[in-house]
Amino acid sequence: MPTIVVEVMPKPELLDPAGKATAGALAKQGASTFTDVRIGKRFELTVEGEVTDAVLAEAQRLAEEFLSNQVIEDVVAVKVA
Amino acid sequence: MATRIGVVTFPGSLDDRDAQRAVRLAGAEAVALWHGDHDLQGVDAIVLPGGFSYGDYLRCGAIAAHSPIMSEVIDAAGAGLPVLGICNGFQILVETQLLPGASSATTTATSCAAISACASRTPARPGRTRSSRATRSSSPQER
Repeated sequence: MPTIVVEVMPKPELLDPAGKATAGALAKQGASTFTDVRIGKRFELTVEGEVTDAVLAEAQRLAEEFLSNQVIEDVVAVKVA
Repeated sequence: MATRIGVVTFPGSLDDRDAQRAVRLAGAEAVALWHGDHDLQGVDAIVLPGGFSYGDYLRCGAIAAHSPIMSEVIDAAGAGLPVLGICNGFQILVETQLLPGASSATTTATSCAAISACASRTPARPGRTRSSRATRSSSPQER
């Protein structure tokens, strides 16, 4: 059965407290390679049957209306795995 | 006749009984409401209590916001029924958009997620609230 992957990230202009805490922890470990961290979510949606354009559109709608909170998050990807 | 205030229980709500007790201490009648029902039982106001509805999965309050009872709560709120969201209950209200979410354009201001997270750190934790454990409550008149 095919899978659709949805990726959600905090909006770029917002403070990401979890990411900032992680970046701070990296800095304390002495790692200077990575200067910023932002944390999002990856969803895997299993599809019964074929992935048609309608199914992808449904996944996009679901991603925007339920899987993400559009006030603070962006849907950055909806793709067949 | 006493004011009747509904307190909604969601899967993972922790402080529903605490809220019911607070309603009684305030002199009103507490009416237990169930997330899966479509019946507000004619209450005069509603409290969405604290806790971890649906384990805070997806986003705090996001799944509870789609509960059957919430369509009723949203309509009633639109008609002027007072609704109080405490902690996770407040997060549910933000997810239903009954309360506006805050969005910041700078990296130093707090985001809606941070405000919600702050609200969830203020209440009593499970096990430390007398009224949340029936075995510890020792005042029959408060019931």
